[in-house]
Amino acid sequence: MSWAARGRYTLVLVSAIILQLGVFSDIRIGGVHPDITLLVAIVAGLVAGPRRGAVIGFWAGLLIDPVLTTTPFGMTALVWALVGLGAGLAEESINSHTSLGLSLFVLGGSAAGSLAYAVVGELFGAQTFASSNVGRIIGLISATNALLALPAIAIVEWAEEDRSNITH
Amino acid sequence: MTTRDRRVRLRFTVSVVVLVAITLVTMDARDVGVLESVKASLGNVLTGADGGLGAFTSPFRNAWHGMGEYDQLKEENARLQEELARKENESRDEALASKQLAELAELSKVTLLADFDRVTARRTAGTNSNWDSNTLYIDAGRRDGVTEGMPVVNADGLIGTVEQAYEGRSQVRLITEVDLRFSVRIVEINLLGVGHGAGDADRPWIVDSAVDLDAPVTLGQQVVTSGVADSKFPADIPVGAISRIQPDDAQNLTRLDVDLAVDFDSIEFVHVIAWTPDGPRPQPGAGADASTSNGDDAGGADTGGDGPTTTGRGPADPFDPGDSQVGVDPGASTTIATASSSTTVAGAGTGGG
Repeated sequence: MSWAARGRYTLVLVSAIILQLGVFSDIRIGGVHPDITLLVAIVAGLVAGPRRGAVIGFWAGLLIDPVLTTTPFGMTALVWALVGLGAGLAEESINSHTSLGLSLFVLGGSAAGSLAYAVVGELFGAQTFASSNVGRIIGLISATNALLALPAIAIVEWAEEDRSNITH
Repeated sequence: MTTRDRRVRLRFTVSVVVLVAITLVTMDARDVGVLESVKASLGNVLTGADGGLGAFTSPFRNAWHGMGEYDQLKEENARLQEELARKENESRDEALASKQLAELAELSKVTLLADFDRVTARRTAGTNSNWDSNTLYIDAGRRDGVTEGMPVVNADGLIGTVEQAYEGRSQVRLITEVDLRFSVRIVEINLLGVGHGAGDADRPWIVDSAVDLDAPVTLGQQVVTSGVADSKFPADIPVGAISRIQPDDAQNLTRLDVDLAVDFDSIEFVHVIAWTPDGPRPQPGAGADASTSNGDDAGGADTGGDGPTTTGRGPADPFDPGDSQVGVDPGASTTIATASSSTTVAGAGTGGG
């Protein structure tokens, strides 16, 4: 990856954190807010493959981890890295990329990622299952991320210097 | 690059990333000092109430709330104006009642809740995680006198306790948290019990210890903090009202569901009471002069209005789960709730709040 691409990814990640904490965490639908750090991890895997997905997912999670006080530091980085990896591996089996298909891919990825987060959180003692309506949270995160999928893909493609896996 | 090389690089990268993440999780679990400092610093930068991020993004958040809640705000404004007019009429009577209560407290040597100073704070952006519905942040911190363990209330009742105080903000643990157990008192029958949250503000608070099967509990009875020795909270802060009674024959106990007094979805301003479980107790009448009541009834101001209730800090309560590290203060006086207080607005001297 060139230094220019690294710079662009840094900009994307920092912007995502600012948007997440400054805007999206206060925009709640049914008590749930979009999780664009998860979205960035999935889209990075989708656009740039499993390796990039794992690395970008790791950094996205690591940047948001300091403000998540009920889960251990590093847990989000771990889960989002695996989600980015999984998204990249899943993308390799996709032949065509329609807008609807990409949104559905993000929907499924967000659902799987959120569920994985809840499971790992429970394993680490964060009581994610005991203290929350799991189905509603997963559903709403997935739906809002699916709505934001296409702009997010365009942004990550810009960061990726047109080396996108997605055929338009 | 061949496919095999690509796979090797992928495995190597994923291994490194996973290893680093697990190392961080382990260090966090072991409370490694450096990591804690980094976390706190980053948290302050990212979510600090007085930081640039909040100022930069507030127009977007305000626009969103304006779109979604305009009708609701209009209705609420009309309701509040009506309520204000009613309150103004009542204020004279309340001032007189407060004065009489203060005189009574002085005579009976009880400690009023109003004797504790309090800090008024605003809720900043709620929890940053969808998976944590039992935390909120307020824009008052150490510089305002807030420390860990202080109760957080609003006009309706008990909200939670300060779990972590930073310089200009604090993290509040809500009473909806499953692990936050504390003792309460059922006002009408003066019966103690112990309970905890159910993990969500939509679910009732649960009293599942110390209430016998034959206890004369009925629906609608008021539940307040007990204030017994070593309690996590001072006495008589409203928690809620009994909404369900379930006998547990196996344990010979009655389980009570309590509808919470506070609407956790609409919290905007809160009061942090300058009281800690192991802190010094103010002398009766040492706090704000009750006769100068500002009409602020937060923190259990209205506990039924049927005279002073002395629940006290006398003998240690065997049911109270919060007693492991706190000694009994033999000189502690009893506590009752009242309407007046000495109030500090968070950030008043710093341009915040």
